[in-house]
Amino acid sequence: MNKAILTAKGLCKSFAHNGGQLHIISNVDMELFEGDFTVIMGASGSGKSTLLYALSGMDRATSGSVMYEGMDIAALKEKKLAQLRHTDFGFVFQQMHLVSNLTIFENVAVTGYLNKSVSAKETDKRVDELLEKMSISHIKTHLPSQVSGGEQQRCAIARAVVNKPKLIFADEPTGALNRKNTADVLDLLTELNRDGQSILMVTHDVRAAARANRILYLSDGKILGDITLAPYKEQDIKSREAQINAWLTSLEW
Amino acid sequence: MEIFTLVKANIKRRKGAFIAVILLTAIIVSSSLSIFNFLDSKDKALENSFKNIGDPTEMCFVFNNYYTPELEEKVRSLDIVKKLDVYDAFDNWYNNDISNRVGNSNDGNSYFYMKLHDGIRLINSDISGLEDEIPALEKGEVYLPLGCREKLHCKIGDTLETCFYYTKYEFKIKGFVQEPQNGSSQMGWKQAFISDEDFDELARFSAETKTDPKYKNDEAVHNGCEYKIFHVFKADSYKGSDAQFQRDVNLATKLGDLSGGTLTKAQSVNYSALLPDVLLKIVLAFIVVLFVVALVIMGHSISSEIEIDRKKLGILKSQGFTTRKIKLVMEIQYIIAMIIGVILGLVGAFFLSGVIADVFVESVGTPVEIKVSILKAVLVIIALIGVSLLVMTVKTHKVTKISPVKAITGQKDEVYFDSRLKVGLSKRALSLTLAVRQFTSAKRRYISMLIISSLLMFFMVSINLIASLVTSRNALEMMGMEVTQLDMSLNNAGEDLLSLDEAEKIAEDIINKYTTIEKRYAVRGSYCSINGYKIFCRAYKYPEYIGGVIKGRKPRQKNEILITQLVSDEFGWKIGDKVTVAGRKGELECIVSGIYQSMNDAGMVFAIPFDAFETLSPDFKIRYEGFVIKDESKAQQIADEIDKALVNGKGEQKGSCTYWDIDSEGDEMYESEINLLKGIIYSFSGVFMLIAVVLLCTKAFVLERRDIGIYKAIGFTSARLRLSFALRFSFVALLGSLIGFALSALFTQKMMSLLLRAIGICYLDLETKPLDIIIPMAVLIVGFFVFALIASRKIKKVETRELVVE
Repeated sequence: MNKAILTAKGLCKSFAHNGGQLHIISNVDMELFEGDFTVIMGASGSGKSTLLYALSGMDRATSGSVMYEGMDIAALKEKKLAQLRHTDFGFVFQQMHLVSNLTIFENVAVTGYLNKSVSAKETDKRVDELLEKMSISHIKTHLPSQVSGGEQQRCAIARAVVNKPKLIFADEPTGALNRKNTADVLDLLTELNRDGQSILMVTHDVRAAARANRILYLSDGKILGDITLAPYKEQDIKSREAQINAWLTSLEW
Repeated sequence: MEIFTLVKANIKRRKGAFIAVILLTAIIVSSSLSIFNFLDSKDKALENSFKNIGDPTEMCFVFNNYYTPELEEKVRSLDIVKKLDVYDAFDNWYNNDISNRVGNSNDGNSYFYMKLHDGIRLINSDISGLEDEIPALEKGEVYLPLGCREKLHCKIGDTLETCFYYTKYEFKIKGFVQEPQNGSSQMGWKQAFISDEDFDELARFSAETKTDPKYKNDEAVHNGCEYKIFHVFKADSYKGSDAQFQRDVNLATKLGDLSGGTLTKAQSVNYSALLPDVLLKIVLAFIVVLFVVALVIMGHSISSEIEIDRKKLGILKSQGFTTRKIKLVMEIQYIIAMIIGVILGLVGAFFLSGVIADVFVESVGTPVEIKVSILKAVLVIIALIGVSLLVMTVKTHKVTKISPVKAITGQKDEVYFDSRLKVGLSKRALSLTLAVRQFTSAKRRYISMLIISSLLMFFMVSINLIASLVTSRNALEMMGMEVTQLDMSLNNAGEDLLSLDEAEKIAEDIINKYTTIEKRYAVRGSYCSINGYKIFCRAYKYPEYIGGVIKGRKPRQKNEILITQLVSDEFGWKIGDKVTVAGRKGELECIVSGIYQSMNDAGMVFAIPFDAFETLSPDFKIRYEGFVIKDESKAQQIADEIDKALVNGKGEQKGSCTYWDIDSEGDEMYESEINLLKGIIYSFSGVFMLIAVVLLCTKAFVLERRDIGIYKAIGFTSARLRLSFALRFSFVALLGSLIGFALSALFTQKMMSLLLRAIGICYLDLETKPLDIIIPMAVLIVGFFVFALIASRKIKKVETRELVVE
């Protein structure tokens, strides 16, 4: 087994609600391993996105710890968290969230420019390479509003990996895409994972989950299931989907 | 009812914009109304003060040597004269150390010391009104006109030192009086009132001095210092202007020509009102600009409100609210804010009018009791609300374009648009380039900010240029002032005086040892008449150095004169016209050779070669000469050397020489008022900057909240985003200030010439120093940066989790 890169212990997230507390995540203990493509599945409202953002430091947990390289993410100050976001973590959102007045190239480059250890020239070169790899170099001078949703999401993935992060957090990255674009984006993530990129993805789509080698099942803020799969092969897609469906059924999905 | 529910909710939710409109309206209403109140009340106060002394039309002071009872009788018997009062007076003796001095403040102008006469009213001790009674003066006491308080920096109880012949006299200041003819601090002559006992003693002393064998060869002593002050009242049937009355009296009796000076009521009122009129009209112009700025801010606030509340407005429309009703809701909330602002402004105007009255009290020469100008107040309020309503109607038109379906589903027209001004991002200056990109991506959003910053810059540069006029040698010369470095004054009285020729020889020899003379001004000022009109005359020994000629040429012949544009406009004389110039002893046919500028007597002045003037008033000698030298670094040394050398054959000091360093001293006369004006314009600019930035930041923040979340998600810190946010506004301020500078280069000169026409300046050659531009630019850029940085503190509160779609 690969070494754990992220460890959560007793993670809780709750909100004040009608004078009481609404618990979204309850006492979650989990580990993420280097090189894994981990997926969190669960029904709507199960707290999977909340868990993702609590693990990534995008949101503060109510209690518990998230240890990353000896640091408790939940206790980090804003400056250190910001640094983690542009050096160690990459994010891909369901709604892409590209900066609307920056071009496709700039949306990727701006994250690269935050990395002080790489020169601007090297960043620009890497961005060009990534856009090429994502097949969107032809639209690099376009604004997000001028390109398709799939192209936007590929740009968002390029942005997430431009600084060669140790871990990518992806929140329903195919949720807003059509079938063709969904397949393209999943292919990209799979390819990145094959190159050694650790990924934690939230989805409720079994086809997307089938790309992972580990699936966590979340219900009512608790991890109820944890399954490890063989590495993804395109020809096995049907059998993997069937395996996942069976597993989910056993968990009363 | 539903409208008021919405209005109430809107006000609660958008307190910032609501308060901003209240504040802007209050500032505009209070400042404009207080100025109108003051200007109207001041006119009334001046009129009343003339009524208190019986409303004389003309005042003349006639040197006793030229006074005859026949002259008095001649004037009295004129049909156009209703009444004539003649008062005895003593003019202080000109002395370089003491003319009229309190502490270190010495006023070299003529003070006519006379007995207290009817109509003179005592101003109360806190300078806010008039006392009913004026206590009689005891021996050694003096009542001074109010203007002296500023000129001599004195207060009740201080000791006034003055000089008659060679003897120093001291008077204790018992109080300040309303003296409408010369009471303003902007006027030179003053009528001071002493006790009958002191006056009679002075008369005895004068007679004794004149017969004192010690002074048997002292021409100045024999000339004496006695004057007759004529107060001439025009007949009710006389329909001409005050200037025409003065001319008609002069033509019929020679009163004007024989007198040392005349002053009509119209001139007194004009000089007393001059400073507040000019300065407050500049402020009024600024307020008009601020009103435009306020409209821009309000328009911007309305459009941002529509943008921010798009969804809510869509819901209202879907619930049956008509566009008209929605527009009405928005308009009512702003009208409520404006009404509150108007009320606060009216209260503010009440206090501010008093402050203005205090600031200008010495300039006007009498306390100004503030009366509210109701008609003007109503007109200002109607104009303010009317124009604002128009802007509201135009800006709320956007509501009609909101589609309920589009709004509710959150669809928006693309906010950003591609721009030719696109500037690439730079890793090295990431915050700055991002800031520039934010601006170039949404230029339209910053148009209002550009307008505001450029207008503020325009005014700040303009006021700096006005302020620099008083320290700029070229500008002052263009305004007809003789800006000299070495000022040489010769004693007027005593025996064995130095002649000007002798003193010039001494000065030239010393100056030529160190450097060369570039310009020289040997000038005598006096009142002469042109075609019967008494006008201040400046007689130049070296007319080739007269400055400020804007048309025609300097006098080359003895019989050529220069007149100002104001004199030309007032009396209709043009270049080439023949006029008759008359003095005490003769007259001369002259030709107008050119038009020049001069601030003497607020522009009612003409220049003549001294050799021509000598034939008109041979008893006037030049006792002053100023030099401009090539190498100013030696000026102090030269001045000291000349000063020591101005001695007669007996080794007695008969003159003095001083060095005037304009660069460090400037002209103190208007400095405090200009500084006040600067203070008003800079502080108003600050308030408007703050309001504009806060409102625009709020809008930008709402529109960019998602982007801020994204930037945070990819690793930007709040501090870096705030920096970029604030830099964007600084960039806009930079562009705005460049536009403002261009506007100022195009219009300031014209605007100032128009405003300064009242003090005789029709053409200005403004000299722009780098600091005049850099300071307002820095104020705008730093001000916008700081206010935007403060307003952007909300960025801290944006959470990346806001990007999450659950």
